[in-house]
Amino acid sequence: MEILSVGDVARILTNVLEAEPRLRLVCVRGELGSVKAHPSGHFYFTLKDDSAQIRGVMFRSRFRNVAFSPKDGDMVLVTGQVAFYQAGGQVQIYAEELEQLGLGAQLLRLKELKARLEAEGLFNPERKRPLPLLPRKVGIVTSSSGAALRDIMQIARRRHPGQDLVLAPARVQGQGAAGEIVRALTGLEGCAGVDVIILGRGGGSQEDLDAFNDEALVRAVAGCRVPVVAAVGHETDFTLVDFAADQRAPTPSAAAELVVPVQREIAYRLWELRQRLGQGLRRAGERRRDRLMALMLRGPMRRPQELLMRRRERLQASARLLGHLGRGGALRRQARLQAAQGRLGGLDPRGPLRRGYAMVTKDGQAVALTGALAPGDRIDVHFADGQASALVDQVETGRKPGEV
Amino acid sequence: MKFEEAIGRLEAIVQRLEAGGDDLESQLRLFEEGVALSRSCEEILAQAEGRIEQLLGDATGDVPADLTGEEPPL
Repeated sequence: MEILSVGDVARILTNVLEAEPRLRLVCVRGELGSVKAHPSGHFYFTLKDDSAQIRGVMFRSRFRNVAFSPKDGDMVLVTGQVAFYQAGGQVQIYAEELEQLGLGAQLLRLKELKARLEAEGLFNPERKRPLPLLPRKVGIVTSSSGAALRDIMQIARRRHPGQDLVLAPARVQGQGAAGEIVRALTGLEGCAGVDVIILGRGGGSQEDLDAFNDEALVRAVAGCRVPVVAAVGHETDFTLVDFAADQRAPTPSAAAELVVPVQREIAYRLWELRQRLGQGLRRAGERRRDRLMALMLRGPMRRPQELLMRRRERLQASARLLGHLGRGGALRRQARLQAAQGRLGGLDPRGPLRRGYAMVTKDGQAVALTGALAPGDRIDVHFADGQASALVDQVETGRKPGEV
Repeated sequence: MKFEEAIGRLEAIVQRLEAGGDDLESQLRLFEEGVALSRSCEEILAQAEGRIEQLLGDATGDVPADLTGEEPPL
């Protein structure tokens, strides 16, 4: 067997690799690791998947054209040639092009977790609870030193100076942050009067926001007794907590605006309701009155006195009729009476006496004719008011009876 | 009673009174209930004192002094 030098082996390896057409131009998909941008401008990296890894290098002239900043965990597509680097004793990829595939392993894990929790229904829209209109106390979970807390409190104060707040400080990034946030959440849940919780932090890198992708924390948010408003990072940052929360706010300030009502608006709404309450009762009364009026304006109710008058007229007519009848009878009776009385008066012998006639009696006997008298007879002459005694002096007969 | 329950019931009462249709006695009862509800809403609104409590603690300690009891810049 021939004894070879190291260089001989390296040359053979180089030849073998160069002879393999599939290695001359390869397109390899993998996750970046151990990335190192050398001061010289060359870019060194490891390309790996679950089973293997291979070293790689991209020279400055090529790396200049790469549009993104590759970092560990990035899934990439590397185009280049696989060759043996004799000085380094390594097979490696000489990358000509580097493209980002978007999801690194960590992001893939995140995606997998999200899919799992989603399948459990943790993010279902029907789980989302409405925020209280006027929370008694607003719980706040965030770092006590962060700008998020300052923002939330400023907005809360401006909207409703009387709003009660309960802070449950927690570290929001780094090792153990997720656990602290869970404890803070649990503490607020048990705090009487806390009707809603803001869970927030300012913006940061994807790693800074990592705590908000923690499975235990996501579950704690989804299972929280009171509604949770998540305000993690800036508008473009999304974490699993955002999906589990009852509402997501783009920033901590926006969360405060969602949660804390403007006191004046609430007071105005109350005032308006009180006005309407009074008006409602008044209008109910007016409606009744209107109905009554409409009834009163109709037909007989319109002028009751008319009805009364008509009745009275009828009554009077009847009375008149009755009166006529009554009076007529009386008159007739009176006339009859007077006629009878007249007739009777005519029969009264004293009647003519009152008219100036006198009646003559002799020995108590009425003397109607001269024949009954002789001169020397004593007679009584009767007047209406008395009588006189007389002596007959002379008697003359010649006039027929009745002649005066 | 919670504020939204109270104000929700108050709104329902107002709408019912505005719609009319109930007899006078019911309307008076509704009105009285509405007045009581609006009063308790007022009370709830007035109860808030703007207190800031702190629960638990974290590594960095207490609430920064400039965040407690200070008038907000408007």
